Amino acid sequence: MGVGPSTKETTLHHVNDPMIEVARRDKDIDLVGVAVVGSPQDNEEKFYVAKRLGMLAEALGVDGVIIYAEGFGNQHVDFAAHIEELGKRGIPVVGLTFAGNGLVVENEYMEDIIDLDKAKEGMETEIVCQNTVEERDMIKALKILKEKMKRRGGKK
Amino acid sequence: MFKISMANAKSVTVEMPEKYMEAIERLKKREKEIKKENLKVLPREEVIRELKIREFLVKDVKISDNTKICNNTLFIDSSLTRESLKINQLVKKVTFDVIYPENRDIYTNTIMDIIPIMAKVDGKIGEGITHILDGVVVFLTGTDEEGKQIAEFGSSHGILKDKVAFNMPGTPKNKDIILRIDVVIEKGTGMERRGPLAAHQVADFILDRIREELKKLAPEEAVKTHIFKDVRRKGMPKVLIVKELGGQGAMHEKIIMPSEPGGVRGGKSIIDLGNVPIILTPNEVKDGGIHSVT
Repeated sequence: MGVGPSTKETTLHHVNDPMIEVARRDKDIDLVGVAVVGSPQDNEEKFYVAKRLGMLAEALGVDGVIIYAEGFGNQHVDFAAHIEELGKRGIPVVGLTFAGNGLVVENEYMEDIIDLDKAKEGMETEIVCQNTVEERDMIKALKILKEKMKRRGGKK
Repeated sequence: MFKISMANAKSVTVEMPEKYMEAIERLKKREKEIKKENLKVLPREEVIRELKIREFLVKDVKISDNTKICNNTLFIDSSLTRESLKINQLVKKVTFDVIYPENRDIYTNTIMDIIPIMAKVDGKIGEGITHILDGVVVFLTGTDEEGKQIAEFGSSHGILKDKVAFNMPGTPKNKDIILRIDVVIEKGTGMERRGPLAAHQVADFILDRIREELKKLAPEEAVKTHIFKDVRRKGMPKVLIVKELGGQGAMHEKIIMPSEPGGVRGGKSIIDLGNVPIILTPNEVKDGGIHSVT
C-alpha cells in the first residue's frame, strides 16, 4: 500500500496545515518545532529513521509529541516504530493517521491513535484529500496529549 | 468554633479574644491567596521571527498573450505551454485551462498536486513578506504518452467534482477558480522518480512566471494581511509535531525548503536527505516550505 489520493497531503494542505495552526495558538503549550521525517521503502531504513527521531526528541527534551503519518499500510511500520522510540523514552505520544481497518503493526505505546478515515470505508477512496487532518482532529489530539502530559507530570 | 445561644436577655456583651480576630484575618488572607492561585498567569511569549502574508484577491483567470495581474484578474501567457517544455525533456506536452466553480462537472486526469500561488517578496521562506493569490489554486494533472495516469496507489482521474473533497485544508474552497496544468510525460516514466518530478518542475516554471508578477503588486492592493509568529512559551510543556511523509520513491516524495513558497526549484528531496527527521519552524511550513510530489 502507500499514499493514495484521499490520504495525501497536497502542497496547499501543508500551507494550511491545521496541526500547526491549532498547536501554535494554544497558550498552554510550547511548540518547539515541526519534525519532518520521510517514510523510506526499506524496513531496515524505517527503523533507522525512527531511531533518529527518538534521539532528536530526547535531545530536544520534549514533554509530548503529536505524530502524523501520511498514507497507510507499510507507512504504519515506521509510524509504530516512531511511537515506540518515543514511548521507550517516556515521552507521551498521540498519533493521527488513516487507520481504516486497523494498523498493520501495533505496540504497547500506541494507546491514543486518532483515525482519519472520514469516509468510513476502510480503504483508499481515490477522492483527493478526503481522509486528511482537519482542525477538529488536531484539537482532539492536543486535548488528549495535554491530559497525558499532566498525568505524567503528577508521577514525577 | 464560636457559638452564643440565649433567651430573654436584657443586655449581652461579647468580647472576642484577639486570637479569634487573628484567625479570621488569616482566613481572609488565605481566601485571597487561593484566588491568586486560581488566576492563570499568562506564559511569557518570546517571538523569534515573524512572517507577513499579504493576500490579493483574484476574481478571474484568463489565458492571454502575456502574464500579468491587474484589476483582480490573472492573465497567463499561452506560449508558456511550449516554453516550459525546455525545462525537462521527459515532459512531452503541457496544456492549461481555467475551471470556474460552476464548471467542475468535467473530466480530469489524476490530480498530482494542488498548489497555492505564492511568492516571496522579502526574506527567505519562513520569515519576511510573502504575497498570495486568494480565489485561485493550481491543479497539476497528468498522464504518460500512452495515456497511463501518473499515479501509483490509486488514481483520482474522473469527474472533477466527484474526485475532490472540496473545502478541506488541502483543497479549493467552493468559490475558488482552478488553473489546471496538465502534462504528458515520456511513456513508462510515471513509476520512476524522474517522471512525476519533471511534471512538477514544469508546473513550477509556469508558476515562477506568475510569481514574478505577484511580487510587483503594491501592498495597498492587498485585501488582507496576516502576521504569523514563531513563538516559544517558556515554562509551558514542550510539544513537538512530527509529520511522517512519503519518501519511498516515485509519487512518494516531498521537496523541502524550495526557493519560492510551495515551489520545487531550490529545494531538496526528502529522499535525497535520507528521510531522516529535519526540523522546520511553524512559519516555514506555513510559508510553503514543503512541496508535495506525493
